[in-house]
This record gives sequence, C-alpha cells and structure tokens, in this order.
Amino acid sequence: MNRVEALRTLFARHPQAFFVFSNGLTSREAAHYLRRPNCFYLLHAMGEALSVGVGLARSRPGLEVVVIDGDGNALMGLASWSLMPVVNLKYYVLDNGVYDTTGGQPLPALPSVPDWCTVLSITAEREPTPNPPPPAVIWRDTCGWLQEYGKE
Amino acid sequence: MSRCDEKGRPLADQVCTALEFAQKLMRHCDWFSAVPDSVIKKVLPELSPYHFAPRENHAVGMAFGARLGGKSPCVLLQNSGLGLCLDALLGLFVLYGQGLLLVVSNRGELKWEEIQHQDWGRLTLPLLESLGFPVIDFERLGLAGIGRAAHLAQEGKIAILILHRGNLDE
Repeated sequence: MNRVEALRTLFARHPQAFFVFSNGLTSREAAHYLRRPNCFYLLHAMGEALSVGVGLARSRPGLEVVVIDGDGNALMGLASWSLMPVVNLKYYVLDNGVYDTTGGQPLPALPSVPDWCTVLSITAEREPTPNPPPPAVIWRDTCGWLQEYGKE
Repeated sequence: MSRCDEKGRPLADQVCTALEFAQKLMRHCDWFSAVPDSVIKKVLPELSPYHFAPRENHAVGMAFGARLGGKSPCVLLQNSGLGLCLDALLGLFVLYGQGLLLVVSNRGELKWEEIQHQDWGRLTLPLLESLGFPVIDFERLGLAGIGRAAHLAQEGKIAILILHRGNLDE
C-alpha cells in the first residue's frame, strides 16, 4: 500500500470526519490527490499535527477529528502523545521507516504504540505532486467547512 | 523596583494579583494552553479552559487547532520556551495569517536569578524585536496591556505580553 492508497482507505473509514495531515509528503499527496475542504494540510511545523488535532478536537467536541502523521513527524512530536487520548480524535501514523520527504534517510521505529494510535505500513515511494495550495487558501476553505459544520 | 521577595531579593513592581490577571485574560480569550512556570503558577489554576502542554511547541500547536476551531487562543510560557515554539509560531500562526496572544515571563533579567536563566533574560527582548512580533510590557501598561495585546492578536499578530518577575503574586 502506498501513501495515497492509505489515505483513500482512511477517507472511506471516516466519511464524516475532519482531517489534519502532517507536513511533507503526507500533506502534499493528500492536497493533490484528495483535495477537500474538510482537510487541513500542514505545510510546516513538523511534529505538530497531533497537537493541532488535539486543540481542534477539544475546542469542537462535536466534531470527529482524524490526524494522519508520518512516522518521522510522529517521532518528532512524541511529547504530544501525552495529550492523548481524546475521545473525538483518531490518530494514524503512516509508517515507511524513512524520511521520505527529505530523501529517504532511515529513522528508528516508534518506541511504543498505544492503543489509541493506529500504525499503517506504507511503501517508501512518492507520487509526483505540485506544491500544495497557498496557506491562505487552505485556511479559507477549511474554516468555511468548519463554520458550516457548526451550523448543523 | 523597590519590592523584595521573602528572601530580600528585589522584584519588579506588582501590577495586580494573579487572579485579577487571569480574569482579565478570560475577558479576551477563550482558550488557554501553557507550560507551567513559577511566575504564572497562580494564574494557571484560574484559567478556563486550561490545557496543559508538555512542551511549548505543543502548547502553540494546540492553540492553533483551537483557532481553527473558532477560538481566540492564548498561550502562556517562560521565555526559554520561545526557543522551543518558534517553528510552531512561524509554521502555523504566521504562515496561515492567524493571531495569538502569547504571555511570556521574562525570567533571568534580575541579577539574583539563577545563572541558567540569565542568557534568556538578556536575549528575549532582542529576539522578539528581530522577529517583528509586537511586544506589550505588562508592567508599563498594566491590565490595559492585556486588552492591547488581545486587540493585536485579533488583527492577526503574534502579540507578546511580557511579564516581569514580581508583576504578579507568586
């Protein structure tokens, strides 16, 4: 399973959710192949996808939030694991054992996997992708979706 | 700077109580995340909703998620935490054009403070100036400074409210 196939699987598993993607290839491929307004694509701030998801989930308890991290991102953000579990937040790590975005440097395995974290093994490969949309566009689209969601 | 602590060490002037400070913050913000620090130890229990963070970068990340959720966030930290959260500030709030009220205790600016705080005490204000973040001095502006900083945050700025040791009861 490659990254895009994993992302499609998770979209199908959580049809009502709001998604947060970590920076690098996870956001890049998600933004290109699965561009939707119920998605927030981190362009930077490596290691912060889970903390962003926690803040969103706690501030919007009626919203199902799904955070999709890369394994390098997850390793960098390990301290944020202390903020879990959050009842309306699902956390997935796409694990290919390398820093794919920066050229495939190997990285250590996660020291442990709690029961609120689901690790999906993916192949170390990248799809050709352009730059994601500008941050202002990402913000505008997602906030529009979140505001509409809140009215329901 | 005429006040002293119980050990006779000089402190900055007290502006208000920690409770008054927290109450004023809550008039402007509806989300708080922080890494504990002794200067704000009596403030944190008074804040609601308060969210502990294990690192300052995650305090900023959580606050950004709350901003995405429609909140007006505030993060509180010790000045050394600026070193940990700068990438999150730039890569989240600044990149996406969002504002934040950031309360920073300026540890290490008093001569008697421990040596491990002194570098940050010397470098905090020059660092913030080089970043271009507007700085509000709580001791100079008092409680009105909170409103000023909150207004700047609403305008999309990273508004820094600087606390000096002694400005609040500990």
